[in-house]
Amino acid sequence: MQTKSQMRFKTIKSKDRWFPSAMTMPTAILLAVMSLFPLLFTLYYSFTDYYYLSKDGAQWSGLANFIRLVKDAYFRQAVWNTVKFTVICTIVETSLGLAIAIFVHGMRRGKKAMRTLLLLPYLLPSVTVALIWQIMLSGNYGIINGLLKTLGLPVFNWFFDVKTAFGTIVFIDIWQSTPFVFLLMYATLQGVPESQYEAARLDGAGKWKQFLHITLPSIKGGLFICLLLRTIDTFRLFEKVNILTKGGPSNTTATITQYLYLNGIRSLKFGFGSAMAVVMTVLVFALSALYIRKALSSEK
Amino acid sequence: MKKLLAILLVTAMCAGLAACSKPAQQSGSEGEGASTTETTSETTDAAPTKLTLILRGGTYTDVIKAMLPEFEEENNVTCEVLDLAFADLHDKIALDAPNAKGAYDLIMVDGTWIPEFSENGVTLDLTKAGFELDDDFIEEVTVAGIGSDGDVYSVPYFGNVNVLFYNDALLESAGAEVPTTWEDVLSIAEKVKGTGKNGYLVRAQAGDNITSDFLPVLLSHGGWVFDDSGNVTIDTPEFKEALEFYISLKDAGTIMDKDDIVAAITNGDAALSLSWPGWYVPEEGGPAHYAVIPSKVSASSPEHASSIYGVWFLGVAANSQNPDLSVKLLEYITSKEQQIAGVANGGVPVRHSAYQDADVIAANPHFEIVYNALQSGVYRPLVVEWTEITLALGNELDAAVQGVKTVDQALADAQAAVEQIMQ
Repeated sequence: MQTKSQMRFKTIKSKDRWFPSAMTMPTAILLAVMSLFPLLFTLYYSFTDYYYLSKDGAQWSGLANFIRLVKDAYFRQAVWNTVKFTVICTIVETSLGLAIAIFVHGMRRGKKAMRTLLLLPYLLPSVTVALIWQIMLSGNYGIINGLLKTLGLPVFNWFFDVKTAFGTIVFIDIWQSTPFVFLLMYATLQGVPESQYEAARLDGAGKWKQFLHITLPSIKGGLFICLLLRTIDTFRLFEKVNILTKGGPSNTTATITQYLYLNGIRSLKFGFGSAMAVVMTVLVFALSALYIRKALSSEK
Repeated sequence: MKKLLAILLVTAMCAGLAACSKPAQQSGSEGEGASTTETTSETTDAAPTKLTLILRGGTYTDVIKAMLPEFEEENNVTCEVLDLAFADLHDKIALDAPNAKGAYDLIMVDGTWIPEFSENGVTLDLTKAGFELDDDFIEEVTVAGIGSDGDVYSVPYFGNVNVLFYNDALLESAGAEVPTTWEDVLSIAEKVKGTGKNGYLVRAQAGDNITSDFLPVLLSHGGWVFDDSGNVTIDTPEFKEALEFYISLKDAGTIMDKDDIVAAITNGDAALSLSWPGWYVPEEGGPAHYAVIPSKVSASSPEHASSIYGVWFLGVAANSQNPDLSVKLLEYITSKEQQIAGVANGGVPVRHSAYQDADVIAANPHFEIVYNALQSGVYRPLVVEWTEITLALGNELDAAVQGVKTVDQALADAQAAVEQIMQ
């Protein structure tokens, strides 16, 4: 038989459970409508031949869209390019951003000015960044080729040569997104107690050992978040490619999103486009899952 | 205390939700209000009708914008103009098409989109709406706007047609006249390349750009994408010869995009390229001019029409909320008077009368070349699948030009890809 206090405790517990649920319900409903609903529809359309202008509507086509994707050499190349972009950009941006953050964190003077200057590229929209670099790297009137010519160095057709186009896009993405990593890492570094460094210095630890045994373990959480965000963002790379190279030359800069836009959206074949979106979601999830698992296990 | 807090929070949440729902009610009443306003406007005729024009940005829009004030005043209309990039224009028109009440009234359509739009009911049947093409329109140009049922779905407005674009000084320094065969073009380009400048600029970007840039070369070599029976004819000797020639043109220069091509030719950094009249208006004594695209490979080879049409058409959205007024605006923009008036703003007419006007020709001597090209141009294949085909064909042409695939391999792959699209 339950005592009065036990019953009161149970009532409070059930009330406690009801209240948070009620408070989160609007958000949950909104999320379901905004995320789950389109996700399910995209999944459904990926198994149809949905052509947007067709009066007949979407007809079930089974795995036809996915088979076409797997067979398409240009899609396979777009996937490979995307993975290359993601791996290179994420690693370089994170390493560079972390290095700059540590450098600025250790500065005695001019920190504020440095922080502001370093953040400028990240404040620009991707479209603006692409257009600025398009002008600067123009094969005709671009300042970069002009400078190279003045120095007697060879000039390049940056966006239209298979040897340079991929590297140029990577460079522009690194230029724009490294400040984001810097910002996140710089904020994380503020939380590392100075006393730990002082103790390490007293024990005779050098800069490298301080970084390895104090800085890195202290910022591990932030670093994982940063890697996760950069991975997801780079995987969706679209604007720069679409404006600067349109996936060329010879498909060397095509990404999954660019392929999806050209073959799914522009051709209005939304069934095929949905299949690409599903494949992309699975790939992003697979890549992100590694980080999330690692981050969760490190929290434990 | 906790209970009180809980009640307060729940009350606040309910109030929030109620507040959120209020605008919905308001928007409902606004909708009714809008319809009331329309009714009022019908009864009083005071409020102007709004027409939305969705157009290709640049000169194509500037010309129309200059024409609008007069029409707006005469017809008690206000026009909202949306000027967009090529791809965005196609997508926005298509995405709005299935809606019962369309967002757009007058739409600008590229010649290659017309089959897709007319067959899927995106554009209004203008013949049924009472529109008739008169004899003053250059007949060859109007063909793309006429549907398989013989009715007019789109009307030509801007006479874009491929022309040869050259720098006068570089041609002179190479000791050359304006070339009349493709072999002459290559020979001049190689001479100029020898001086350290670019001889010929190709617009070899994947997709539509490289396809449009290559097709005139293909035509002059006697090749085409389809034969008369609709069979794909990409993996053929003519196509191969043309592509090899196109690659040699690229080797005598480089690859550039539109803005760089115009700048390089006018600056004297490059000698020759293909262009569209809408890109640049040559001036008397200016650095660059237009010529007719060579129709022969060499002096002894057969002649083939080789200028590609890039004509911009105007149509009315089938779901326009003001179809009659939109047709009236279309008639106004494509009228003889406005076609001539538009020339001052960079317009390229599609009517005979404009090219027979002595003042127009005196002010724009290059129009003689454009007029000739308009009367002998070739439309890119008018098939619903053309957008997809340009993508597949463009990818393979790009691969061959970049040397990633051999010409044979690229053509075999393009043949297979286009055949699959046409199935």
